[in-house]
Amino acid sequence: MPHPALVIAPLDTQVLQTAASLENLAVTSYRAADRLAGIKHGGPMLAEFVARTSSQHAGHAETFNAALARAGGRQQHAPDPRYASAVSRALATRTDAASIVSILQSLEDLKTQTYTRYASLSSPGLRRLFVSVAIVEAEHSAFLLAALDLLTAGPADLLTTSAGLTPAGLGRLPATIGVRAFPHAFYPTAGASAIDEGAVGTGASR
Amino acid sequence: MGVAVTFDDDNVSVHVAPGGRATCSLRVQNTGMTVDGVLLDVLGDVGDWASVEPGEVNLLPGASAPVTVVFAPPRSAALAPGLVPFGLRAMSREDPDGSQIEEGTVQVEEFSDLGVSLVPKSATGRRSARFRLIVENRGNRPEHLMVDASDADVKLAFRARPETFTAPPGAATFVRFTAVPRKTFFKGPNRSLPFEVSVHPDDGDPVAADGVMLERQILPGWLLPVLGVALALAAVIIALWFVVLRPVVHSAATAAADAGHAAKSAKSAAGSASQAASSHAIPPASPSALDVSVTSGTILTSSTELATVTGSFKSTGGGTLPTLVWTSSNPKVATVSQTGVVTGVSAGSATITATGQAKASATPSPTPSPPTSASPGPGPGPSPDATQPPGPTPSDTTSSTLTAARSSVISGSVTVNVVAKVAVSSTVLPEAAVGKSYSASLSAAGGTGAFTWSVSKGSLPAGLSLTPGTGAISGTPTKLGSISFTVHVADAGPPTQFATGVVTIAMVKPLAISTSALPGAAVGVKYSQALAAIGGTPPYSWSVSPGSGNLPAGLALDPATGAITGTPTTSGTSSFVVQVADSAKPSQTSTESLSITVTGPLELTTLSLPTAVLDTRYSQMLAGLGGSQPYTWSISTGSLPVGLTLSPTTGVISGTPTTAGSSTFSIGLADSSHPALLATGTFTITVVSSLVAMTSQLPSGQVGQSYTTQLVASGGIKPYVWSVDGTLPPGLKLAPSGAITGTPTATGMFPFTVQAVDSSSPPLSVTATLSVTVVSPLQITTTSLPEAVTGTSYSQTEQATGGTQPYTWSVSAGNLPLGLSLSPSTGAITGTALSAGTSAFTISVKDAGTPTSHVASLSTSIAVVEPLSFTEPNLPDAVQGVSYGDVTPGHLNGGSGTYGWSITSGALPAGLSLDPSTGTISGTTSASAALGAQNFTLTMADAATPSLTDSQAETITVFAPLQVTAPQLSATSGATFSQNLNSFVTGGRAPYTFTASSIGNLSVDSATGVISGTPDAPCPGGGSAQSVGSSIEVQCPSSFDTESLTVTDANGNSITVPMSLTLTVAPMIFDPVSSLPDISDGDNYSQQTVVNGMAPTGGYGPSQNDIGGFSFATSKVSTSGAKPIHDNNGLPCNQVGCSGLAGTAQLNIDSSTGEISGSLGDVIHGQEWTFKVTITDVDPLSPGNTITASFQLSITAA
Repeated sequence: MPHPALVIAPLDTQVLQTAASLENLAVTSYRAADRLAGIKHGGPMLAEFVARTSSQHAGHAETFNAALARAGGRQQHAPDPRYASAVSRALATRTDAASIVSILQSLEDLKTQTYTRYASLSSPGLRRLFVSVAIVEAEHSAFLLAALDLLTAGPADLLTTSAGLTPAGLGRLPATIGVRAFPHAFYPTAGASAIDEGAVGTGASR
Repeated sequence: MGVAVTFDDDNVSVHVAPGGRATCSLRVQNTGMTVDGVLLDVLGDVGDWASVEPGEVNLLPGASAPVTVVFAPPRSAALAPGLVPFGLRAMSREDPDGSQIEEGTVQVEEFSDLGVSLVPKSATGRRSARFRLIVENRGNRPEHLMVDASDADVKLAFRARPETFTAPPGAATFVRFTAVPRKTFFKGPNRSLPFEVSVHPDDGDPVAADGVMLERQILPGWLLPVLGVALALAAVIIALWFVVLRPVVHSAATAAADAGHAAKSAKSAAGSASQAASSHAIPPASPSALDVSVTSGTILTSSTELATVTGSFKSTGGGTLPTLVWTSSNPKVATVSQTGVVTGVSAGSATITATGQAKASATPSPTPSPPTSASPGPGPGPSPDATQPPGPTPSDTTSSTLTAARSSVISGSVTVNVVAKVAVSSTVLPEAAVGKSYSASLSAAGGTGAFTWSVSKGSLPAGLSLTPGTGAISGTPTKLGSISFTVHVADAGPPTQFATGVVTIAMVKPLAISTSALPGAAVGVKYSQALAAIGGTPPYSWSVSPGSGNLPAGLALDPATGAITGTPTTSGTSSFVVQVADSAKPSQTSTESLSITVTGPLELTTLSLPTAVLDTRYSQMLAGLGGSQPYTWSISTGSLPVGLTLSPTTGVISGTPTTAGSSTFSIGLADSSHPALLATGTFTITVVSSLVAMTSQLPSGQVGQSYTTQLVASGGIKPYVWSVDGTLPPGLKLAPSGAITGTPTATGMFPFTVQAVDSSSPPLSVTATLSVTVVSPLQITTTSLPEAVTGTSYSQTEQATGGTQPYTWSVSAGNLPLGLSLSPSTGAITGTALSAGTSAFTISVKDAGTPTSHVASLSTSIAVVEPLSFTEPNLPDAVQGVSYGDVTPGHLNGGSGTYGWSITSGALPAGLSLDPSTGTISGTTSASAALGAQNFTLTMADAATPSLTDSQAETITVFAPLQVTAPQLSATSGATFSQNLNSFVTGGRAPYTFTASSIGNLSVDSATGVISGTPDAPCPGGGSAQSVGSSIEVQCPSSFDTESLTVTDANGNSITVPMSLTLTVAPMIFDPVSSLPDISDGDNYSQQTVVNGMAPTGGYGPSQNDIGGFSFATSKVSTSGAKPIHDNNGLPCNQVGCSGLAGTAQLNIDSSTGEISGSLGDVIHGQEWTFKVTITDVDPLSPGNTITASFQLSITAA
């Protein structure tokens, strides 16, 4: 049976669809993490971060879908299929805060790299969008890296308690926390997602 | 068209506090005529914290919708207060030009947020402690601030530099802050002086920070021994004072039970004193101040010392000390009796206070009077209730003198330091393990702590040494056994004291914890690790040193076995000190600082691996989490792409892949715990070749011509997505698939950049700068080719326009006619066709466009025909007024077979016409047609276009009609006659042909028309002679003859006319001689002509055979003489006859000349011969015709 001719969506549409699906994945993952008991072990600061960031990713997804609508592309409301199952499985099996944070950080890093890469590929009108979102994801990633470092190398109480909010607590931060949280002078893009992995359809219109 | 935006209620000013939220309402109206979508956004500096809800509205024509602008400025110092303009932009989708921006302002309000911290929070100093006060203005307005500080005990003074300052928003100001004790602290243990520093803004609440100054004594340590000696001397002096030089001392109170009771008593006493003052008119003089002193400020426990009180009186005469109440601020350290005897209880400091009631009249002296000694005396008696001191409780423990208060309660105090008796408290030191570092400290109880240790007897165990200043015995013992030795400890005091003690150290086999480190644990993974010890005396007893930390949650230490077991529940590093004690007496213990790092379960956190590019360096680090590092990485199944390797230590997959394809493998991750935790993950690395744009040139396009080309890339992972940066030629578009399609609408060269992005992860991309040249369309403008003619050179050049020159021509299908060829460069079809027929073929032209040329084709044909030819019959002459008949060309050949005829030059004679379809010339020559040759060109053309022609130059000669005038000729017989009969002919076409019967012996030359000849006519009767003078003229009558003369001209026209000939014979004239000479014998009678002039003239003339044509003859007419006379035809003969020799016997006449000649020999004189001479002119042409004339002559013989 002959295959129908492959219809290739425009580049902007594809990268927006992938970006939207990655944000959907982030929303799903953060919400799942928020329900895990392990995340509570990370303290209220981490829990608050997860809740806040989840809503931010929902906003990102909405923004990307709005851009998709303007571009005439099919909006994406499902998680990125490439990572959805792997992340879901991982979250289901991890019980400690560090593991959960690690998954979330991997997602943030993936998205940051992806949006950074997309910013250099897409049309000028979308670059600002990708860069602005990438910056936010980088902030998320930095927080999670710092949290991961505190959870694994200590002092964990700076994260798990309110001690980290005090000047004294700040003074106890490891000297390497900055390097751990911001490991890149220039954000890499080698881990960026493929442009077409987020599309669940190739429709040119909604 | 367009939109309109208006603020509701005309309220365009909004106030919002940073960190707060405010809104304003607007209304968007569609002022256009179509349904419009309006995009809304907020412009201006508020853009980062303002939004509009909803962001898009769809409006029917004329409809409006409310929108809300939400301002949520962050609570940030960077956000300056004040009016911030903003604009709400409403963009119409249908009519972007009709978009509108409505402007407004939002008032950002001020907020204050101050933060103060003291760094460090505590500082140590003798005279002062320095801090840094960090004041952060986190608000958005400048703050004018003042630094203030206080301590509850008012023991400190403070300095702040600057003390007042203005802190800009968002900035931190560092203030140098110094705490200075108000009182000098010479000696004593460190003391904490807490204080609070606050920062006061002009407007708002102050903020404060706590700090502590750790005040150290001022006096250095070495001063104590010196002071001890000095105190000893002072004690001696004091003892002398009491024993020998004791002054008057009013009282020495018994020690109060405690400070509270003393204070209560003092209050009560003060009250009593007050009452007493009011009841006695002249009370005794009371001191204005009390000075309490002791001989030595330092006393040993269980020892006593008497405190003395000295009063200061206003009058020089002194006075009486009031009843005193003695109190101790710390009875646990020192007690004081109501007699002033201070007894040391335990080490420490206590303030001994004497309080009394001054007299009411006593006026405070501005200057103290010389002290007056006063015995503590019993006075009115101490208050039994030590909790009710007679006066206020002194607050300054460092002051020994106070001025009497107006309340008349006076007091004095002195601080007493109680020092316990020194004693060596550590007589048995911990066992020392041979060969193991040992450190133990000798300890002494009591004293001031400024000990100096020494071994006074015996010696330390080998390998150990004593530090005199600290009492530390340290080193590494080298021998087993128990060693006792005496140590001496000297306390520098005050008071100076010493003690000795025997100390024993047992050197035993060392007990040590051989476990120096513990492996990591993982959350949720059962953990079991046994601690081990060596040396000492088993069994051991294990424990975690209290306060040294805790085991990880979920783990426990078995005291008997030293096993740490359990399942960790939380991750993190737990540090603790385990202690093992053996069963020896005393028990030897050993400790070890250990830690257990509990990690999460070992996990591979790398979600996926990016695509690798062939022959390109690849490096990707796998990430793991949990477990115990370092990790060990391995490939458990499968294999990496060729060229890549996995570092087992770093987890970095690196290298340069050399083979394309996908490799799926499993990564094994093992941590360093025992047993190792394992994690696996399956990954796939796809190695692709680098993405390369293969298209470097694009074919040129043609305006109006469909254009399609496909951008091509290789490498990476398909599909590729293409996009363009720049402008394609108008009419063309780039599809994401890379197809550039469309129909160009404008010529020119259009550069642009295209980008291809593949489906790799991460995406590979490549760009290429390309251009499309659009030219006018290539087309062959030659629509058809003319016929070729066999045998005729053919040259026809194909023409083309558009495209990019030069062109290349070819025959793409079919064949040219044999003999013709196409020039690839010029498009010329040249040659000589060899055979007739039609050759269909397709001719193509290719332009020079690169990389792809355009081709235009034309299917056409060349008909090869034979050349046109025809045979025009000889055109007959035309005769005026005569029908010309039809003259039609024949032998038509060549061309298309359908011909047309025309006169292409000249003209037919008037009256004639040409049939254009048949070429027939016909008609009746006009009678007035010009005579002569009419030259014209007769052209035959075939019906093809362009047509072939064949022309022939033709001539029709117009003649007048043939006319012949009947000739009437006259000729003289015998005379040559010639006359051209053409003169009788007019018209017609020469040459004429004359046909006529012979007439008069004349003949007509048919060709020349000359009638000529010698006429011959009869002379009936021989003519009639008549004498004309001496001549005879013979006349012949004329004859007349008529014949038909037919003249035929060259055209065959003939006319016959009668031709008449009148012949005349010329009269024959001769002049006869009148006589002849006589003849004598012998005479030669010769050449005697009978006529003069030798011969007659006229007549028929001489004939050919007869010169002169005349013939003479004689005939005898008569003879006369004596005898018979002989004659020869009348001519004399000899008398004997005419016989004999000829010529000699007779005369003869020459018939042709008429000459008589001869000779005679015997003639008789007198004889006479008469004869007739007949002259006959014979018609030489017709001998029958003669002219005859005769006359007579005579010859006489002489």
